[in-house]
Amino acid sequence: MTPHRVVYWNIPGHAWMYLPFAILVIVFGYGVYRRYRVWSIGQRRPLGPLRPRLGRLLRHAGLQSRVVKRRMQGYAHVALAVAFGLLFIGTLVVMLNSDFGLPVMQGAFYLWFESFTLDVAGLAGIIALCVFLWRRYGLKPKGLSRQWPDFFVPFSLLVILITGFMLQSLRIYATHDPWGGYSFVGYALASLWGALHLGIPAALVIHRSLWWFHLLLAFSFLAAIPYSKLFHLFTGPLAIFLSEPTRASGLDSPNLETAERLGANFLSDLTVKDLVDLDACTECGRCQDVCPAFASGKPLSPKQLILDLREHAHTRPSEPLQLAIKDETLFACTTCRACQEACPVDIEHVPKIVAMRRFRAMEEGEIPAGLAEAVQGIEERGHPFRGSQASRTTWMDGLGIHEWEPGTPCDTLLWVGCAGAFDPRAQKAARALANLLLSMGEDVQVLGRRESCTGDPARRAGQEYLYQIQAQQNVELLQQVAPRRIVTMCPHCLQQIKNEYRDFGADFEVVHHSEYLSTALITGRISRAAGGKRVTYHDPCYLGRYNGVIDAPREVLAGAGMDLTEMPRHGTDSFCCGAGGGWAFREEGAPRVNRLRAKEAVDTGAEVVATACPFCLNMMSDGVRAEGGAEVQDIAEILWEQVSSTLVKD
Amino acid sequence: MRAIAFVKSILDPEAPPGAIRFDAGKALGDVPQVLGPYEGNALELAVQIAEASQGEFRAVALGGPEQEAGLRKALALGAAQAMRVDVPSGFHDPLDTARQLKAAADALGGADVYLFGRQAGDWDQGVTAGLFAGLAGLPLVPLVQAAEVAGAGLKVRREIAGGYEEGEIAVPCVLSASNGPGTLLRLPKVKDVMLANRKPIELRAGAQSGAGFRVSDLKASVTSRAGRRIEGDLKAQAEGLAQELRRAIPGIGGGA
Repeated sequence: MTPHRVVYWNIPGHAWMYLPFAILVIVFGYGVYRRYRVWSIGQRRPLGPLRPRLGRLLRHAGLQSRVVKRRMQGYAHVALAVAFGLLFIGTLVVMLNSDFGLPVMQGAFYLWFESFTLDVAGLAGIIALCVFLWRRYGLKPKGLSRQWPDFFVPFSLLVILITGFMLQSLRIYATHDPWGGYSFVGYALASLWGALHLGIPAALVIHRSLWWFHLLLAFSFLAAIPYSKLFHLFTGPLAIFLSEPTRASGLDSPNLETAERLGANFLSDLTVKDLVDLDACTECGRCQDVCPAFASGKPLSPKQLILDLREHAHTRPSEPLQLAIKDETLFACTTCRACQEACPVDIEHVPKIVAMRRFRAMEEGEIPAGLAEAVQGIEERGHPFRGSQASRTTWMDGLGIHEWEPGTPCDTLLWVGCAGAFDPRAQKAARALANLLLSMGEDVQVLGRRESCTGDPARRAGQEYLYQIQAQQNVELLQQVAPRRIVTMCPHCLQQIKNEYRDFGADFEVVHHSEYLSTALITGRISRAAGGKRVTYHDPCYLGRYNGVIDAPREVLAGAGMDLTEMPRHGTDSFCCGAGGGWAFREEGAPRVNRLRAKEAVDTGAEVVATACPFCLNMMSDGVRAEGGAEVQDIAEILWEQVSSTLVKD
Repeated sequence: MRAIAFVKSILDPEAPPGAIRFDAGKALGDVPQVLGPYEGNALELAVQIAEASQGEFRAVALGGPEQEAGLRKALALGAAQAMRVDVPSGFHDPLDTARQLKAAADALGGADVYLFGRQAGDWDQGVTAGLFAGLAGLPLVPLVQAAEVAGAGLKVRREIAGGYEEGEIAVPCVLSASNGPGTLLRLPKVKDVMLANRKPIELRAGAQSGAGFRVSDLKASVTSRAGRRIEGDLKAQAEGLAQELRRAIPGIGGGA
């Protein structure tokens, strides 16, 4: 006899299930409509090329590459997703057999897929759900909430899976199914019924009742999906697809002359992607776990920000966003993007925060003290370092570097940045870099008095108007200079000139000094050194996470003969130094972010803490000093110290 | 209540001294013009008084086109009108300045409150407000750190050595503003900045009498001395520093 199973065995009147099914479809559809209605308020942005988006969708949604970064819950999530995917296919097979008359519930397919594989899937699902419940209620991690829906969702799924196995076991028990062994979980349970001496009539009644309970629970669960965080099944992939596909993508550059409102204070000021993000949040808390603002006790949790906006979107969609998000929350962000890097569904927190900051800064003139003075400094004197007694060229006194003059050609332009020019600590790094470039025989020039702030602190503060003025002026000047390439030691300047200035017509070859120096080491223009100290490297957020420059600074340190020890958090998972988002110019209460990061650096036991950003240099110097740790140096300073006597000139 | 704020843009006082040079009565340098810090305080008080009384304020500056930065800021903060008394840039005799500002204020129809900075951030004479009050025959409250509309007059807090004093004054009157938490100039809203850039600045021909004090040269005195590193542990360094301070500033310290 061909192995098979009678579909709807012991369920007379099973056609009645289409009544709750119809209700399910209506409730589910209305839930989706409710969500869509909110998304449709948002601003539409052009999607651009599809290929990188699809690639990201495959990696992040299909392969769940970010989910599995956290091993235990990551693999449990993958197991659950695969299990329910298979169980869904199994249910479709049943439907094909019963509703469309296709005889698929038989033979080897029935035995190996419908019986064996689905039992494996169900068992894997149960184990995954137990892991989730144990983690949330046993380990109680800070990032996970423990509200009733947090329990209800995994518990319901667990009940659905367990009742499914019980139904299977009762059927096997009552029918003496000759192929029951393939459904090994149900088979094992069936032997339990035998041991309990359950009568067949009772088994039939229990089976029938349990079938309806199982069905109604499953339908209720499905109907609840658009009303719960389980909707991320749909919104997660959608949010991933809509996210900016390149790491270096910055913020949008609105036309302020025509904008109805400057910045975002209503849902309609946010983008469709922003609004989809709110419904994509799975409340996993990974963003909160990596947030430097949250870690240092500031009133910002990226997770709570998204949940507060979601609550606002679904309860008072026409009210101002200010009611949901306070100023101290908005301005606590360092814009380090650790939250975005950690988010399994590519929620973009930073653009939302900056959009709301824009409203506060431009429509209401509200920028926190310290940052406001820095922004005013950019407006009045072209740099944010108030009180500096240096000029743009003080740092290069005696070095022999030339200022570019109009009408002259320029090969390599060293974009020093405001920190390199005005901050005493960063000036030393700028001098080391200039010495390296000059020692290589580079025809290097600087803009000197003509250089002005890229506007990055103003943009991150929400003062987009001032930023756009700076950007336009700088792009015009750089187009006039037309250098073959631009080298900068500041990752914030790199991010602006290389990426964000594209909206203003920029198309320059811009490299960070780490990339330039690592190439010089590879090509032998700088000879390698040996016998360096033990070093740990702090990845600047705007270099590593924003621009993907991870290896080059490490290659520079290796070229300088240093012995690298990594901190636990490094590369794209690095922890912010606390300077970003304008915090370099603000007073910060304890515990300070730089102290938290400095402790990680000091704990490596390294003799030197290296970095590749003038702002990180300052923050880490301050933090490491307070932690009683090692010396902090820019990679250019380390390389110059190590190789200055053995440089190979062209 | 109507107010007039007299604003003055000066070479960035935060620029390194070496970046500014003096030539033919003018301070020059590759340094931006910014609103004087005390004029910023005066402007903030004008905004507050206009808001509290549901009145309006105007802004007046004296000098060359470099003065327009401050006037634009005043417009962005809600000034109903901005006027520049057109005279060459550089040093102006305070009495001459006060006369011309008085004439400009009269041309604008006068005001209930006239607001000056306590002193200009460049020439630093600190007498124009007083001279203006004398010319106008109005009472003057100097060094004002806060002002509130109180009935038909103002309740004013003014800075004194080691504290402050409060009192009331009827309008019209003249106030010279000082820095304090209540006079920190607010940031203008960007839309207002954009609109301000399109608003006209009224030009009024100025006339310098040529009388009074004239600056012919300007030099920075050299007072710095080479530093000395105090060696030892933290306690020894602190004691060493205290000794150095006692030696450098006679009269401080007292006991051992």
